[in-house]
Amino acid sequence: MSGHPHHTDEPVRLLPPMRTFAPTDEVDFVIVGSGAAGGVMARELSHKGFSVVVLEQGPFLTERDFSHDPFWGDLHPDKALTNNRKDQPGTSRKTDKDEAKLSGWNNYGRVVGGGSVHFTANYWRFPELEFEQATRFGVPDDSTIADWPIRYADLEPYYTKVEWDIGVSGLAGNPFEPPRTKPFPLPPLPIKSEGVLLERGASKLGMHPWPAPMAILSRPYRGRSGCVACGICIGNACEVRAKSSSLVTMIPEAIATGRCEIRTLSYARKVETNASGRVTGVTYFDKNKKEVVQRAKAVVLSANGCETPKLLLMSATSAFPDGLANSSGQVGRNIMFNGSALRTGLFEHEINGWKGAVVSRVVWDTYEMPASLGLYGGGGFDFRCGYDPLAGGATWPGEPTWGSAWKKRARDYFTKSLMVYGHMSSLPTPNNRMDLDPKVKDAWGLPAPRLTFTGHPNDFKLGAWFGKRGEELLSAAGALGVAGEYGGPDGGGPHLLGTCRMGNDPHTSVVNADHRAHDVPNLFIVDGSNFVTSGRGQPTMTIQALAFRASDRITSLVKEKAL
Amino acid sequence: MQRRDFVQSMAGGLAGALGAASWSQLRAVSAHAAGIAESASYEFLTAEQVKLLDVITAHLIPTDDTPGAREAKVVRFIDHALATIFKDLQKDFTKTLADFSEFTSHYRPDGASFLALTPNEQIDAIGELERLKPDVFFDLRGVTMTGMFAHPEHGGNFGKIGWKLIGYEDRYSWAPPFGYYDRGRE
Repeated sequence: MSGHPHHTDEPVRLLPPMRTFAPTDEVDFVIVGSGAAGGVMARELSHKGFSVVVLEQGPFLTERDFSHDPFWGDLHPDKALTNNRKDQPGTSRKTDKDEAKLSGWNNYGRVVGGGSVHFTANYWRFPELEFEQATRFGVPDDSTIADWPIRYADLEPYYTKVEWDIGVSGLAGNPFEPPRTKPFPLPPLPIKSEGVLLERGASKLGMHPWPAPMAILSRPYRGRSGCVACGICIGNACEVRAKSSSLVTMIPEAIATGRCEIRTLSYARKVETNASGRVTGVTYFDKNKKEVVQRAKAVVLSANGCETPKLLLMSATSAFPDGLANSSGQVGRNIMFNGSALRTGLFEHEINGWKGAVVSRVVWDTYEMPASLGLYGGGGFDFRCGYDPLAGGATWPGEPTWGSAWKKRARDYFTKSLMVYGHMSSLPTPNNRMDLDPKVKDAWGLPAPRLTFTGHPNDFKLGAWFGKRGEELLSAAGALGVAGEYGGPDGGGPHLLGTCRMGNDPHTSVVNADHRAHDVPNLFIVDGSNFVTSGRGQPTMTIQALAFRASDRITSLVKEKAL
Repeated sequence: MQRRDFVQSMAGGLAGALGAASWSQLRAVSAHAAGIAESASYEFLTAEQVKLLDVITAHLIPTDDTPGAREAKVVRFIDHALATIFKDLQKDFTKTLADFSEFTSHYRPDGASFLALTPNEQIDAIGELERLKPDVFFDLRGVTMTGMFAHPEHGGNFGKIGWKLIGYEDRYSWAPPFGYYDRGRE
């Protein structure tokens, strides 16, 4: 059958034919993970002439597998976008004295494209100060915060490359954005009512609202469709290829080189090493839970800030008794999730924020906080709805929750409310970390990742300040009422950061500025685990900039025969 | 039960057999299939539980000048969901209903069951439940709201009654202005 791909079970021909390798072939690189970082590494390394096998835990889904129904993944576990907590449980506790309990702290995209398939697509560059906070602001008590071994200027060309290679919509000139060498490739997405209200509120408070940089196409770009503003964007995969995920940007281009295989339903369980301490490949479970070893000259881990350290800790040998690349003891440590401060505002007229992309305006005046406040870190704001129709059951404090009285208000709650979202930095602490749970196993018999986490006191103060400022923004925007009270560190979620820190000192970091493991010459780690600091809330842009830079550094090392 | 799977399988069959089938025809067929017939048997709930839930959900989202939980077939959703997407919640939900019955049986000194109360007494009893046993109340409210606003293919939100109530449309393509405040900015 031809012409109507949705009417057949034939694969949709959106991808070129894919080269495959035998596990016994020694490929140049095995990359673990195909998400924001893994996708970039696959495309860049294969473009540069290397042979690449990407091991991805999840399936290779396309547009026809996606749905706007929040229960889609429950009905079709083989088409779920994120990890299944039943098969792959995580456990968490506050301190070492507590018994860790089952929890969903580690949320990640478990499909080709990883979390970029369902993300909100906020693409904020880190400000210059992000990379040198220890020097500029000192190290607070009970924190392990440090300077990055690189600076904004080292990353700037790669931030620009991200914007142009995957497609980011936005407008240059935000006074709080660090210097850029090129404008955005695409104009901003259309402003929404939330954006207009944020402009109204922020301007009254003397702040500077600006069009949001979003990894969603405002116009057709590089063979992909522009956004059709379908709505319910957050948490969902795009059905028109407008969301610039690795799935529709990097992965097809990697496959098209003829040098890259995306091997799905492949769950890495051990990085193999030889007697001289070099990696030789990766052992993984295939779709039948059979162990397979893929041989490689070098290995890149881009599995996310939980799965990457988990894999290193599971790869312990007599030569690496505390886990691979862990002579520093830093693997799994310094974990950060970002923080959030949320308030809901109810307005007089319809906002209908469920239509279109989630965010259209941001405020970054709070990237750097006035020293007089005594707060470490900072963040930014947006106004958003991001509701799906299941939010139709919403209530409002002090108003009836059921019966005809509630029913008369239900439409107001759904169409006339929005959230102010304060996105914040988080401090790493000496004791916050992930490791392997000694008791709980996953469906493959591998240890569950265990989180030990207590938010730093500064981050609760920062959250309280952002919450109060958020209320002021809502009131200045004309909200009739404001609800909500939380502000502080997130104790889990999709921003899995800091667990394989980048640094110059092998005693206090896991990889060097080339993303090369201090302990293992042909092992590279490229994902959110490398973050030395958490950023002001939106990590994916920086994860991809790091990946583009890492691929250049790794290629140089190969050319210098330094691998 | 899934719209896409259903439409896809129908499309394959019809298109294969007839060579062509219009999308409106296919949509009509699938819309009919999504509505569960009144007389169909329930998959999980007992007849007694169905009766009880019918009254509870109709108090939570009553039929007044617009349709409510009854017209949206919320109980059909609850039943079907407990047999499918909420399978893991069967035990918890059974206990919630038992807790509800136990609590409301103390409303009248004679120990009358919830269904034996007058409608006004029932409303009063649910109000007490909300104040004194908020966990039980919000479990029941949560599943009722889900049945009202989930995709109709799960058995509730019949005729998109819930979505019409809140002003949501599943058109999946919009252009500015999206709301009141961005008018004139497009």
